[in-house]
Amino acid sequence: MTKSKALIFASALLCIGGSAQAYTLGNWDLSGSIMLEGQVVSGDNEDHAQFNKFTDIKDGVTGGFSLSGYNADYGMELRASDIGRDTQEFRLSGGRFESFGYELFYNEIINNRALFDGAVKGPWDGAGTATLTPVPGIDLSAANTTGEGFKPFDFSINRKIFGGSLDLLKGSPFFAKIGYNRENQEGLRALGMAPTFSTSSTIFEMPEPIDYVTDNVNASVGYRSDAMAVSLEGFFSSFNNNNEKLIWTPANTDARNASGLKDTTLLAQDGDFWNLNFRDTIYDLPLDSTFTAKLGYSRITSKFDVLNSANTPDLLHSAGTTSAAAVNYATISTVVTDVPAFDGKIDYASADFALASQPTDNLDTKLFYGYLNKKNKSNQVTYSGFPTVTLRPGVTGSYNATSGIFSYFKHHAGADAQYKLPADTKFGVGYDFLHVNRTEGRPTNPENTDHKATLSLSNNSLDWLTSRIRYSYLARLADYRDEEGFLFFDAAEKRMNTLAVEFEAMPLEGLDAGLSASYSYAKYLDSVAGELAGRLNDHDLIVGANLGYQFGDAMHLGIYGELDRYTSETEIHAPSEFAYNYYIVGTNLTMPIIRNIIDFRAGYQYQRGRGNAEGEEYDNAAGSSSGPLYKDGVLVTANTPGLAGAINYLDTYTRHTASAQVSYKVLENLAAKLGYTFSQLDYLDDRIAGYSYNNTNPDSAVWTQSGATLDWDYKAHVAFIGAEYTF
Amino acid sequence: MENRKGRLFLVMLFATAMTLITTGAFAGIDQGSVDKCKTCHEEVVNKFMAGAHHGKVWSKSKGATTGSCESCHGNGDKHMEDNLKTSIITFGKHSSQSAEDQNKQCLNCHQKSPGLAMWKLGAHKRNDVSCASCHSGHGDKPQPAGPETCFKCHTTMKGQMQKLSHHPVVEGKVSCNDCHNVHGTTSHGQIKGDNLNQLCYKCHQDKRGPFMWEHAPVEENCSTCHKPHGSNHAALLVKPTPLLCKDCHEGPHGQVRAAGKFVGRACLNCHSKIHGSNGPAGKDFTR
Repeated sequence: MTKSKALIFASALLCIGGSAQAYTLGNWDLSGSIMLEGQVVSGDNEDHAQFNKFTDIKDGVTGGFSLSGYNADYGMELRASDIGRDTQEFRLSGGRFESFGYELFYNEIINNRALFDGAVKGPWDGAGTATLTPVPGIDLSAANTTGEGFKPFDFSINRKIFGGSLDLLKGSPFFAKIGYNRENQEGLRALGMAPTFSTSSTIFEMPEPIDYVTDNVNASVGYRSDAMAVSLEGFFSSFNNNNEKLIWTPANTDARNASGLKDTTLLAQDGDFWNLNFRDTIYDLPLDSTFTAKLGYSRITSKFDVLNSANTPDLLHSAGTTSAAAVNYATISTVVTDVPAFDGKIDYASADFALASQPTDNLDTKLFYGYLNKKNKSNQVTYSGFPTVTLRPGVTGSYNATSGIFSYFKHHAGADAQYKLPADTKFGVGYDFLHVNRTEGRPTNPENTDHKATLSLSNNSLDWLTSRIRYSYLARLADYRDEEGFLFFDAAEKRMNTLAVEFEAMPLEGLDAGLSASYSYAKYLDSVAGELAGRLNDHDLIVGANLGYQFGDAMHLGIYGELDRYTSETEIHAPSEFAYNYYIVGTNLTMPIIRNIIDFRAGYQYQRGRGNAEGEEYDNAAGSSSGPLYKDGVLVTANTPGLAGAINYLDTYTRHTASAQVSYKVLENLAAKLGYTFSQLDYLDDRIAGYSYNNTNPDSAVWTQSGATLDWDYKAHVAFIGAEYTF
Repeated sequence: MENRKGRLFLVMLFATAMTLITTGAFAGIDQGSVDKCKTCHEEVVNKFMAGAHHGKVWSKSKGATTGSCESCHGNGDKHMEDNLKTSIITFGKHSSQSAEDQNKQCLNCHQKSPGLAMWKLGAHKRNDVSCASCHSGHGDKPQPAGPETCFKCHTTMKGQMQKLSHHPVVEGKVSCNDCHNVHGTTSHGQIKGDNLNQLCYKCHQDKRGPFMWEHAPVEENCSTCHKPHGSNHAALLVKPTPLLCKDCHEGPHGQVRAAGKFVGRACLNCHSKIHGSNGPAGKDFTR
């Protein structure tokens, strides 16, 4: 539909009208509404994924409706929105009061990930299928900065979910609920892959086909009285990928590809997930206590034939590489496994207990304990038959690979107490203990123990002000094994202080204000043997504020803002620091132009984020050749081996969003709206400076990008007109 | 198998029978009491009566005529005499009653709701959050209206949720309630799951595995690398690549430049199976 037709169509809605009234059908009172909206979009890159990340704003008409009905015993509600768009949703719910309830729904969720205007592309035929072949005649031996001859596609995933639920035994001490839904995911996402027979660093960014179907069933039964509540809940989910393998013929012209040999990548495999939970809560125990216990058990399974010479004799596949730089190829005919299939099975067992008590009017306490055990019961697969290679400098051998599984268990316990002091003041103190024991798969970091203490104080003595302050200190202890020479930051020993304050104030009639701020400082410690932690220090400051003022009973002005500053220092390679500063400010206004007839609302929001890193840019090992270096998006030098410099722009952006809307109550039951929205994003990142779809530099024999991360800038103007008819 | 079918049939029969038995109705409207309040609060009462919670339902019900403004606000006689807010139970920020006292009024009817079974153990109850902070007793919809309800107290979430990378919360396709049980759980952060990873797996099914090669930090805690409430880096990462990866993995491996390995998605250009791998080269998560 053209823009002019869309506008005419939407404008025609304004002519609809009449003296419609609430509708009665038998003993049902019915009410509802019908909405139509026409949209016109223009600008630069206005169909960019960053503008329409989770929306589907485009030229044309969309709409929705609602219908609700009630009688003495039953109620129902039907709602639809964004009809015809990738975000459309339909929902029907209802039931008999104090007896049963039901819900049926259909919902679409779009996730647009990259450009739509043809700038996302690759040297492939077959995007969206499980087989990719090179575009005939494509030559990747020369640089191709614009992707000439590449075929376009979109990185976008659409989820379509439909299902329903039934809620039984409402109004009785018992309850039972059962639900089912099916989720279809379709689309493409970027997948980086090195071909089996690459002699160097040949990499392709390819379109991975997404065609998932997941069936979910949940059920729960229980009993609830004044004395106790008990329930049993079950969840089963079956995941099916219609493309478990991606078979692709590398598009480079490497000599070994001359015969058109294929490669195989295993994508997400089919699998099941089920979960059972038993809960029991007992009320009115001594000391005004409530006790709850929850026992849970889950299992995740996935079984499939592994890639080996027996299962896939006609295909090539990458050998294990580890530290071997030039062992990326092996014909599958030489690769064998000790078992033909992987039988994946992970069990989770959990137990949680909590006791909340109020022994006196002034004291409120809670004790809790939780246990979680993840046990990987999968079989292990060992690959062998790879060529003899240089595994690492001075070490030659054949690379054999045995699959790696990970298991752990956790104990989590704690206690807290809150005591009411005079003057509406409440003092709290708490302690948390967490112990993680990694029993398989992480020998260098087998155990962590956290001790966390918390103090809090809140005051509500002034009618117009509520204030809270909270401080916590975390000491994470770690058991290291020193073989690796450095520590993974998530399991490293650390100390962390966190301070948070919150204020909510209503100093004047109609004036509402809030302020919250938190600052945390984490210091990671080296091991006793001197290994460096992955990080040294993290600082995170977040401040948020909002202010709202209601002028009389019609006009409202709101202002909000937030500052988020994060810095992280590391020293694995050299002292370095990453910093990210983000802030957002916005305002919105609603006001009547003619009271109860014409309303106006407008808003503006500005966001700015800036990331940079000192001492983070580094090169291949000294002596190796390298390509050009960019700073601030500008080419500095063609070859800078061994440099430790700065990255000046990481995910740096500004975004302006402004909107204005006038609503006009044409008739008692007919309202019209006219509005405009503007949004502009300017993005800068050194990782995409000098971006080229195909490079042929010395350390990257063929380096093919798809445009997945390229050029997020957009400017979009959206005009919309709509009408809503209610009855 | 026959026994299993038989038991299933008995369960269904029991549930159906109980459903038919429990056709109790809500309270009907005590019109006299309502009219008494309407004298001064006509606009509020009209809104209440037109709203699905509770007026529309009560006004249709054939149940005992006990439902009225006073069901929640308490006896209004003294309030009618002195016209003071303190003489009646009020709700929300401007209430003169404590959150606990306000909530008692709601729990009089709703305490047996299965969803409230662990209310006393939850963070909201323990931090003096009233039901009226989120729910409207007068409006057409008792349910909170989108994330703005949560943003009122969780002030910084509004800014977090609008960062470059975020879940579609402000767009209305995911709600806070999808991940958090605001009415109380035993879990950290009141999440709906035995642990964080299992919660994430409900929507990100392809990340469940089991994989032949597991990436241990991934399996242990998704939030080691991801910030579910919003991030300015792709895929909700806590840091941009390659810096995030470098917090654990050392070794010069390329350069941030157009032709280098750190262009675009950096480490993920090659190590794309970072959530787990099923290929022979799985240890490096490249397949």
